Amino acid sequence: MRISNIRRVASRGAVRVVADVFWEDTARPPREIWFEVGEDRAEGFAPAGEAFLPVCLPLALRQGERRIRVEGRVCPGLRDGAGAAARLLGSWYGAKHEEIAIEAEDGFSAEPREGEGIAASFLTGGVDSTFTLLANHRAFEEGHPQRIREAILVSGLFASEADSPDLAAEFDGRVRRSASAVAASAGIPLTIVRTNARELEPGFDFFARELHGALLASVAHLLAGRISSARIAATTTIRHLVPSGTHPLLDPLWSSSRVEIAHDGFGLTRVEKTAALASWPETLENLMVCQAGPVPDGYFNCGRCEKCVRTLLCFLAAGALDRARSFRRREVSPRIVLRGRFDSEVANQWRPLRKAFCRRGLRALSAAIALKLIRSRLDPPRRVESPETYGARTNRP
Amino acid sequence: MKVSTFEQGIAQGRAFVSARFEWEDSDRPVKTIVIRTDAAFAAELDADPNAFLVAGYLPALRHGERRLRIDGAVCPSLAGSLARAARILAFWGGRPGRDLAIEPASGFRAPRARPGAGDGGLLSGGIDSSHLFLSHASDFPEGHPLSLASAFYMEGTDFAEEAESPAAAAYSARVRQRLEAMLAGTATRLVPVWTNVRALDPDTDFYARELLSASFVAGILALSSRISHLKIASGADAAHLGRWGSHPLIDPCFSTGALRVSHVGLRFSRGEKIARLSAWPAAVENLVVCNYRPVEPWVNCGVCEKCVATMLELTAFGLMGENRSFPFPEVLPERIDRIRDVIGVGHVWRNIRAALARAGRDDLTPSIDALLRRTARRNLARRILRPFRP
Repeated sequence: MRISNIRRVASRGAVRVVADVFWEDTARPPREIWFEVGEDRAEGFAPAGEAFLPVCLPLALRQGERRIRVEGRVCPGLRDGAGAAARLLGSWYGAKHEEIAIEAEDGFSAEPREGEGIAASFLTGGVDSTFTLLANHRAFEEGHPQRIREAILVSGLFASEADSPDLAAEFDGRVRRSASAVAASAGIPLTIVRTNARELEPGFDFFARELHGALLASVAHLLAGRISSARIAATTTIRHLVPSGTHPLLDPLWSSSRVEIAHDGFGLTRVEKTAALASWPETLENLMVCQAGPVPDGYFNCGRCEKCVRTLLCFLAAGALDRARSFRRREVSPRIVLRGRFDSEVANQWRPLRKAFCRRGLRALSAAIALKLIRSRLDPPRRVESPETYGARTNRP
Repeated sequence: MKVSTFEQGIAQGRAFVSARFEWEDSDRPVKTIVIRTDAAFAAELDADPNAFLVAGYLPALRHGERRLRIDGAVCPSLAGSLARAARILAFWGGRPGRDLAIEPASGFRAPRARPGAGDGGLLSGGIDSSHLFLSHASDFPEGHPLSLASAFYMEGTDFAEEAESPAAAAYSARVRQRLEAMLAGTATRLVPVWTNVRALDPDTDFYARELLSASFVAGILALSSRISHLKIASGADAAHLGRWGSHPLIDPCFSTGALRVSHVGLRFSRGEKIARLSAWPAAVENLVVCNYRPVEPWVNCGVCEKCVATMLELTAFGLMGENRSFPFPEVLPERIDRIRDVIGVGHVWRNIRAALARAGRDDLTPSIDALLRRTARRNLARRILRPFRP
């Protein structure tokens, strides 16, 4: 695979960094891959060959390319990290070749940063990324170099999983409103990035299992002109860790000497994160977890889909259900738990809830979750890829 | 556990900081934990409560302490990530996770990296850490802000209760000589750091599986005005990680607002690292890989599993002839036959076998095959007997 002709293009209020991707061992036509930000957030958003290395490497590996050659120079730290990432992905999913050669037209060198960059974090307005922001601002006072001073939202990533373009647009608008409001509550700007990177290899399965963190890392490297670190929020604990496109072993491997990529908040359960968020009331108004839709104005979450019910139960476990005001319905009961459906993909997210309710003496809820967990084991495992198992349609009760 | 009475000074020509560790729920003796370095680094040594927090946290959890009260302020980010490290280690060890309350007398406050603090790495003289310094030297030339200015050599952690013995001191002095020779002509400065953190719990298995990098980082945190980014070399590539006390999921948990800790070097296997080390003859000639304490004048015993494995790897890559670190100039099949079994890293020996076969050393491969068969039999027996162990 060759990545070349990297350029910055400005048009109609937006700035795009574009690269041409050529396949060498695969019979595929060349494609453009681009990332775009609004003109007002384009300072420090610059063309850099190495920024395309993370997002293209999983694609090249999957297609069995023997090398990936990038225009310009590449940081040796990123080269080694990408090599390690290739090994890790190969050990998880198998690889067509033992090794992929990583080449840079201008060689491998690290440019020292001029001045201090700022710390940034990816934000969707959901529980995990909002918790990352909250925990960081509690740990690091104003002016500390590690305090997050910018949030980044990669918008439209799930558009192809939506049932219709209208639903995709509604979902995207909701995420933007939620993330903007959460960032504003924290007093930091939000940079919204759009990309077509997922079009190179459609299918949610590939994105979820291999590409997710790499794509976010590429965004961070394109913003290296102003950011020195980017945090990707963890979604799980060690007990439930499985190979995934964003993973505590994988994400940091996409770091360069200019931009550190960190997988943040790994090890805490959703119940613990929700409990922490319950003490940040201005955020709760704007929390968005719901991937169903459409949701009426004034709310971010339907309150009925699997993810909404699970999050509401987290609020209940934290004793803060009354504060979950961004949910259209806030009713949770054993009957609702039993009526909904979830498969083994999300079963791990329910287990801490069963324990939490058991500890709180809410035995009926605990028993309902236990029953659902047993039933999820009996269900045949489904691939994430199918639209039946992800997106608006699936998450409906 | 209560951590108090921080002291700082110079004794017997070395700068030190120390703290008193008192157990509250466990019937264990009071210990004074000391971190020492050469007097030349006295100005950079600081009785940082975060250093002693990292030293005491895992032992306190292991012995059932309910809280860790510490004089001074600690980094809130470190406090959170210590709990996460403990959960990971508990899960790996098959134990239920438990939280330990951290109570800093002066509250939580994130420290900042000091101006001028640079990057550094741990250097033991082994394959992995030597490769870390080699690859940095080629990627970041001298004077580059990301070059490794400091090579930290940890003393005292290998031998627990014997840390202060004359024999341990003499061994450390020999290793230091080797490391100085390795770094001669480079701009990297060797910074020896001695600590007795293992006195809190000398158990070797606990050290290897849980405390390993915590014991190192505790020592380095006391020098955090010298360093802002510590790199710890991985002992395995990304596809062959084991559940040890130094791991890419564990090491970064000991970072603070002033010091970032990274676990690096996941790209290459051990064999690949050795092949690359041929570009640094000074490192090959001064390797220190032995986990035991050989007699003078050696730093490697030449008979333990790790020594034999390394000698075979050097043989496979044609580097054994240059080596003066081992008491024997070559490995005979009998030396392999004397190894009882391999400690959980069979793929390393399979790679050694393949490298030797490629090098045409078929005289050595039958002994390795026999060793792998012995190991497989023992592992099977261990698995069968595991449920009956107390």
